Amino acid sequence: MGYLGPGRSGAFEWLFQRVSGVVLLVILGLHFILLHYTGGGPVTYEAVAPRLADPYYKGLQLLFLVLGLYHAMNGIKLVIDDYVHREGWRILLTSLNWVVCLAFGLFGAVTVLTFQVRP
Amino acid sequence: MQSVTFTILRYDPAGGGEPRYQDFQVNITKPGMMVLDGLNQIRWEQDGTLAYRRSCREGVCGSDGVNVNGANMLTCVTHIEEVARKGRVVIQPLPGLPLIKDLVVDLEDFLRKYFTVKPYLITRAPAPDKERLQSPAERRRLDGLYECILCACCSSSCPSYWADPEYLGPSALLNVWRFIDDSRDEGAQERLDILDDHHGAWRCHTILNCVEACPKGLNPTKAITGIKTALLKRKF
Repeated sequence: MGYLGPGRSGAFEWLFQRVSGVVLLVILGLHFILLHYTGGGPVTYEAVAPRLADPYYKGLQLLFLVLGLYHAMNGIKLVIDDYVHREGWRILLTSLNWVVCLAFGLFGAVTVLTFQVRP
Repeated sequence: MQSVTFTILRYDPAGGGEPRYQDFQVNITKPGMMVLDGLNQIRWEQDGTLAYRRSCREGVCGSDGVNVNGANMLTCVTHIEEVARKGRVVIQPLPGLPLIKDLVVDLEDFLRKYFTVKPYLITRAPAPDKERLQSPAERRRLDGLYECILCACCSSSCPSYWADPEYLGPSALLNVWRFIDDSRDEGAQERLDILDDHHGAWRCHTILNCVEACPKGLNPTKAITGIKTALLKRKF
């Protein structure tokens, strides 16, 4: 049975899974604070849109997106590596993992980057 | 409990058939009977063709690792009443290893991986006149590592080991850490070169089955964490 691995040692993947996990926790906390404890008042388009259009907020959201997708995809890949033993299934699921991840990445990036405040 | 049903996986390579389960009745003749006593009773009194490994019968030789009711353990140090469920004990060979006959598995590959990691003292300095000295603190670091009896209970319980035929496995990794962490040993770098591989330490995904399985109460996952830390310190 062929091994569908990264072709590398896996040291970086191991380390970055931990690093991204910690950073994700921090961003998630920041995200909650920004969304629920700042601004006040009713949640209207006028209140939310300027924040979403802010370049720094966009940067934070992009970081959130990239790290979240990396962390999730890497985790799913390890689960596939460990528990899917048939090579055909392994190739199919690993490919699907990539496709889904890239699609979400593209979709998310387009949504975040192209957002503008409409008057 | 007068008698317990032993459901044992039978496989005869000469017979050509598929593996199948066979039930035996084991009479509890004395208190504190071990699973191995039950297997002996079957082999000696009922069916002399039943194949299984045993030797010292006190948890030191590591010959009799099998899977009892879904968990890997040594039959010689496991009480029957401890594991019997509704008067039944299901005994299978260790999972993930090639089956030879009945409860006997092929440990060739498992031991090859053990020797791959150079499980012996490597030194450059010439040997001193007396023994190589070690402080009590340095010696204590080897507790929980040197006791491994190579029964294969840990490696054969590991999903990563089942999925990746080239993965060194918790047993080999615990045994290599026993030497890397030894103050007298000087072979750490050449061993770490072997371990820094996706079939080496990085293949461990901290599933912790090995810790559950070890009949000696050792912690291979902790040893692997030591290896990973050493690798990261060297790399980044």
